[in-house]
Amino acid sequence: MTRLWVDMGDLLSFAAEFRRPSGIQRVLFELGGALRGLADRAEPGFVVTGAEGRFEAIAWQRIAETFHHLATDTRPSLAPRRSRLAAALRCQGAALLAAARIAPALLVALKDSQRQRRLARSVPQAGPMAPGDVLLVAGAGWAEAGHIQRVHAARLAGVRVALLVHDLIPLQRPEWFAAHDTQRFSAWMNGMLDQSDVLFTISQATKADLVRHLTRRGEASRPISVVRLGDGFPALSARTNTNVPLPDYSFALFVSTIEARKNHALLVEAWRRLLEMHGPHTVPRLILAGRPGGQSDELMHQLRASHYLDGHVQVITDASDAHIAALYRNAAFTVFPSLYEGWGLPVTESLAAGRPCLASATSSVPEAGGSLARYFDPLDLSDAVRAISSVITDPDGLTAWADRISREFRPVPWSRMACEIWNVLELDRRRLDQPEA
Amino acid sequence: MALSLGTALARRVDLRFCRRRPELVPLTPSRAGRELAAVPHGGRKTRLMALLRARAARLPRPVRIALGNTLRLQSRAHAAWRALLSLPRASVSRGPVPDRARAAPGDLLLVLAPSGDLGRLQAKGLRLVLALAETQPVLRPDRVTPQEAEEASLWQDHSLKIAEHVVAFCPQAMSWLQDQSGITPQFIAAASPVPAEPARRDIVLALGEIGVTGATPTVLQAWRHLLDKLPPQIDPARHLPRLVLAGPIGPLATTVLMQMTNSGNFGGTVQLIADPSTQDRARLLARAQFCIAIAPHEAWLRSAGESLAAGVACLSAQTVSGAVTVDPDNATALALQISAWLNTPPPAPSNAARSWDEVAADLLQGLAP
Repeated sequence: MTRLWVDMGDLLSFAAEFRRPSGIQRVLFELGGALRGLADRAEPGFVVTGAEGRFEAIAWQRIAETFHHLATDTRPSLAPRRSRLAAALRCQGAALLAAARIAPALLVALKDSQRQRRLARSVPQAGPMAPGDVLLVAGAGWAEAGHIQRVHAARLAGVRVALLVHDLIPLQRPEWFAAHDTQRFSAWMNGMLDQSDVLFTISQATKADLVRHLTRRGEASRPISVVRLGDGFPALSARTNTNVPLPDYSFALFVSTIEARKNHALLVEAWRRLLEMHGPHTVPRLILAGRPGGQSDELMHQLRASHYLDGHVQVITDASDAHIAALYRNAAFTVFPSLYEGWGLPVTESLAAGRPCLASATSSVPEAGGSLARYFDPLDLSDAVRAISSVITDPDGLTAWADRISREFRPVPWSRMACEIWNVLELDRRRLDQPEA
Repeated sequence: MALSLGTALARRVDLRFCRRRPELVPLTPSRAGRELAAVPHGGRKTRLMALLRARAARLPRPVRIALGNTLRLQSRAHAAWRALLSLPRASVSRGPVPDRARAAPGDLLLVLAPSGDLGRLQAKGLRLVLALAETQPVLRPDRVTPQEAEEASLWQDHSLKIAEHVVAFCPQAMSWLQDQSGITPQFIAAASPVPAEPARRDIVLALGEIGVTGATPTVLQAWRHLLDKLPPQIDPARHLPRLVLAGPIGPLATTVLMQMTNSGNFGGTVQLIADPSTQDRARLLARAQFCIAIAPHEAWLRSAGESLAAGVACLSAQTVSGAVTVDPDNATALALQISAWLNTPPPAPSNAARSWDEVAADLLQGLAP
C-alpha cells in the first residue's frame, strides 16, 4: 500500500512563534486528523523538519498536543487601571521589556540566517519515506528554512509530491506583505510548483489564480484538483470547555487577524455610518476577535482616538477557540469584509454555528458562503452599509435567515476532503502504473 | 495659502501681518514669508516616522516584531506619562494682549487657522473674521491626534461665537457650519492659478495628502483593481500610464508607504512625489491625462481648482463646478471611472483661472458694511 506522508512542520514551527493558530494551521490539523481516519486505505504518516534539517516522522499525539496548546492558550489581559501612575509604570515596564526582547530577536534572526546557510550546505535526505510514497505538502512551507530542498531530496528518492495551494495572495497582492516575505513565498511556491506531481487548490478562485500564475510562468495548463475544505473544527471544540465570558448585549462578530487585507477599516467606517443613520440603540455592537497584525497601526489609532466608536466596537485579542465558538453561537450575525481570500473559513464557521454571515463578494468568499451567505462589495463602503443596514432594520428577516441556515446548511466533513485528496492520488498512482501506449 | 491671500489683501487694504505665539507680534510681509517657510512642517515628524516604518519593514521578522512592539508600547507609555503629568489646562493661552502690533479697536483680524484666545483680542476691540478652512479635526477627530482634536473643537466652538464674520473656502465647511452652528458663512472659492507649462498628458495624477486623510488607500485599491483586470501576459507598466501620487505625507500614511515599498511601487506603475513644490505641481498637471483629487476633507479644494484651471479633467470627492464627483469610499466606482477615462479621454474643462486677488476682492466685499 502506498504510504501518505503529511508535512506538519509548518504547524510546529508556527506554534514555536505564535500564540494562536491561523487558518492554514487549523486546516492542516483537521486534514491530518481526517487522513488518519483513512488508515485502512492510506496509512498516513506525519513528518516535520528535524534538528538536522531533514524530514523526521512525528507521532500524531504530539501534533495534537501542540495544536491543542495553540488553540487554548490564553493569557490574562491587562488589568483595569487603578491610577494613572500605575498605568504609566505598567506601560513603561512593558515598553522596557519589549526593548529587552530586541537583542534576543536579533540573535534569533542571526541564528536563523546561519541555520539557513547551514541547511543550504547540508545534503537533504528523504528521511523515512520510501520510493513510491507520496508526500502531501499542505502547510505554509515557505516559512521553514530549507523546506524546498528537503522536498527536492524526497523527490529524488522516488517520493511523489502533492501540493495543496491555499492561496497565492502574496503574489497577487504583494502590498500586504513585507517584501522579503513575498520573495520567500514566491521562491517557495515556484520551487514547489517545479517539484509537485499533483496539484490541489482549496477553491475555484485559487485555482484561477494558480492558472494565471502558471500562465505568467509560461507553463502550459496542468491538471489542478479543487478540494473543498471541511466545515468547522469539531476535533478541537469537542475538547474545549464552553465556560467563557460572553457579552450580555447584541453584537455582530468579525473573526480575523486585524490586518489590511481583512478590511477592518471598511467595517469600522461602516459602523460609524450606521450609528449616524440608526442611532446607538438600534445598531448592535461590533466585536473584532483577532490580534492586531500587519498594517493595522493606523486603524488601531483611529479606534483609540474615537474611543472605539464610543464603546460600540470591542476588540478581543487572543481569545481561545472555545471563546470564539461561543461568540459565533451568540452573535446576532457575522461580517466578513475581507479583500482577498483563498477560501473564507470564518464564513463557513459562521454558517456551521447557525449564524447569518454578510460577506465580501470577492475572490473565493462566495464559494465558501454559497447561497446561505449574503454579499457586498468590500471596496464600496456604501454597499457594505446598505447590506448591514438591511439586516439591522429587519430583525424578523434576520431570524428567518438564521432558520434557513439551520435547515439547509450541511457541514462538509473533513473526511470528505481527505477522501477527495486520496482519490486523486490513487488516480495519479494508477496512471503511473499503467504502461504508456 | 495664507501668505498668498494675505499678499493679495495687502494690495487693497492697510494690512498688517502678525503672529501669536504667545504674543501678537507684527511681521512685514517678507518676514512673514520667511517665517512661514521656516516653520517646521506640520507633518515632518509624522513623515519621518512613516518613512522609518517603511524602511523597518525590510528588517527580519523577529527583529521587526520586537522593534514594533517596543515602539508601540513606548508610545503608549509616553501617552500614559503625559496623562499623569498633565494638569487641568486652560483651553487657551493666557498671555497678555500685547500692544506691539498696535491693533486699534475696530481693526479686523483675519484668522485663517486655529490660533490662541481670540476672546481677549475681541475684548480689546478687534473685529474677528474667521475663515473656517479645516473641518477634519472636528468632523473626523480619529484622523488627527486626540490633543489636536480637542484643541480644534474647543477653539472652534469659542471662536465661532465671537467672530463677526465667518468665511468658508469649501462647500463642506459651509454646510457643516450651517448644520452645526446655524451660521451662514460667506463662501469664497479659493484661487486656482493656471500653470504655465506645456502639456504632455502621459500620467494620471492623484493630488492631495498622502494617506487615509487624502483617500490614497481608495486610489491604490482602484489602481490594483485595474491591474487585476489586465491579462496575465500584459506588462502593466507598459500598458498603463503611470499613476503619480503627489502631496504632503499625511498623519496616517504608514500603510500606504509600506504598501508602496512592499509591492515595488505596484509593479512600477505608481510613483510617489512627497511635498511637491508649486512648480512641481504645475509640471505634473501639465503631464496629467486627468487628475484624481478625492481627499474627503480638503479644506481649500486647491487640487481640484488647480486641475480644472489647468484644463485637466478632475475627479473630486466634493462638489466642484466642472469636476466629476466620486465617492471617496468606493474604489470599485473609482476604478470604473478611471478605466473609462483611460479608454476615452475626458474633454478638457474650461474653468476660468482664479487669482488670489479675486479671492481677496471677494473677501473684502463680504466684509464691506
